[in-house]
Amino acid sequence: MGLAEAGAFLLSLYRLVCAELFARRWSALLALLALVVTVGAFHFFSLLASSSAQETRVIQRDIGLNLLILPPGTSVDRYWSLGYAEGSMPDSFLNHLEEQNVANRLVPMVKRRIQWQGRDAMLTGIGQETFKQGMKMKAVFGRSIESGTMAVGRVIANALSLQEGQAANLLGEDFRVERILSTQGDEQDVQIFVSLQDAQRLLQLEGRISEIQALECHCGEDVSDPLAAIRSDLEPLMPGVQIIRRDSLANARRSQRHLAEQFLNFGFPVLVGLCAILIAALSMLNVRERRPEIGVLRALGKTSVWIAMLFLSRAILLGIVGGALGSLVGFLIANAIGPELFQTQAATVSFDFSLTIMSLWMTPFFAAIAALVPAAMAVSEDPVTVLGESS
Amino acid sequence: MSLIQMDGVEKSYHVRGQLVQALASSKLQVEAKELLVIRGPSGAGKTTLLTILGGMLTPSAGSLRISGQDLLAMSAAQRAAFRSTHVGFVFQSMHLLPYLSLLENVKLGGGSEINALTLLEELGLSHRLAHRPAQLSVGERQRGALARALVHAPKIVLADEPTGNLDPDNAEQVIQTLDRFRRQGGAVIMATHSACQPVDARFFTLGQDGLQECPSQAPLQS
Repeated sequence: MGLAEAGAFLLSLYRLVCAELFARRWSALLALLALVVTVGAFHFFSLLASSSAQETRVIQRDIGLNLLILPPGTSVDRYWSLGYAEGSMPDSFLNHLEEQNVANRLVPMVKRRIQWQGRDAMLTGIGQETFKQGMKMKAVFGRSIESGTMAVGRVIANALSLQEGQAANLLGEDFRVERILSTQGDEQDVQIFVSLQDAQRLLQLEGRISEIQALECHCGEDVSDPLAAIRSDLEPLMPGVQIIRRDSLANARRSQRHLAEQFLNFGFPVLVGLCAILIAALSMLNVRERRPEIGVLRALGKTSVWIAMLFLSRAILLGIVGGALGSLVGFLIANAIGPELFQTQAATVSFDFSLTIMSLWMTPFFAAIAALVPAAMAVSEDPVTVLGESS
Repeated sequence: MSLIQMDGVEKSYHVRGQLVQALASSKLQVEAKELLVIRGPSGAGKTTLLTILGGMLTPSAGSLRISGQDLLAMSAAQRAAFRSTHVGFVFQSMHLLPYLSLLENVKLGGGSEINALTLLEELGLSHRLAHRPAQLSVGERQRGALARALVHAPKIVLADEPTGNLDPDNAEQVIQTLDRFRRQGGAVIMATHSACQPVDARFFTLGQDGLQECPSQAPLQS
């Protein structure tokens, strides 16, 4: 068959299919509806899962370092009431963490409450941000404090009339005030930040740290209990350390994403199965209804391939339209009610062209597979019998 | 060489272990420009014979050559291709596709649109081109079906009770069209019970003894 003949063949087939679909429009609409619902549900949940994942990442980023690792024996209630861990742990613990798949970014700290010129303040020594072994990342968390300098919270700075650039004596050592921090409305306003080594020396805690702040690795992964996973990773290396996660909001997002993913993993296959059954049933009814037509087409010299193509083309055409409409409907619904249902922002539900393109070829393929058995039935119809029956 | 050379063709089925003879051993030779009328009681095998001649049904025994080609040696696809160029079918129930217009139905038979339009004009249907079968009278539908059978200029037309559902005027028109096709060089084999039959034809009866040519050429009146 030449190219022109093939084109004419497909055109005649397409016209016949379109005319038949229009004539039996209610049956066609029912099949189309099944496809639109299936594709629409796929798009709806995929877009919301993607939106939720994106928001989880944003929230995680906003939360910053979401993992606190405190020295063994630390009482968590004391930690929260005091604002620091009373105990300490060797700073070599940091090396263990660098080798583990627990956290990407690590900031060692030592914190103690002090009296400075008659004022209560929190002395905080911050070490260099380090990364999981083998990772090369740009440091974004933690403040880089050079030795001999300090950054002072706004409330303390105001109380002591400190100015940037001036010298200040802290616990018997001279420091230069590098920065006065802007008002935060939290404990940072009464913090004095110095380098980790300076703080260790001032507090006589050389080689010790009182906490490690970290960004956990499991934040984007499918781990049902990330804290338990982290504990099981760290326990052999850092026995007795306390681990606190500060990402309840991110967890809520993760739960929502899991809900969408659960639908995609379990509910969606069921929906696809039901859709396939409905399409197959409707196709079988269509074949049954068109038995005399099949006989006539045989009498007119149409081959088995031609007749199979007639029924498969019908399914493929419905699949293309169903795929396109389903993508659009799924997006519109995800955009309209998704943010309310999933507590996400409408702006993060964006049209996904790759998903649409996938639907545009997967849906016709799926519809054709569902119509395969009915098409085989159509091909195997005995024209003499069906013409005899209908005469 | 005869247009159709059929020898010892028979068809039997096994139904629940019992042999059912649908067509007794039959012999037939048809030349171009011949019109054959086959009569017989219901169940005698008239439709079976026509579908065998059209290559839609494979006989249990016998040989069949049309235009010198051995139809029984062909594959299903080859027979379909042969049918689309050599054979036209007309059915009692017309079997026009309900969702196509009359013109589209005729074009489905193959051939060009000009052929289809010419035929429909000859059959007095040029004002009905865009109508669906449901919008046509029974006679118009049968003339449309006839146009579909003739549009690809076949060598043979096989007509199964083509006038069975028609009033005398429409039946006469169908017979005249088939006769015109015969005079133009085609062969027509028509199974019928109808009283309206062509004069210039060969008459056969089909029964338990197979196909028997009637000695009298005069049409029977019901």
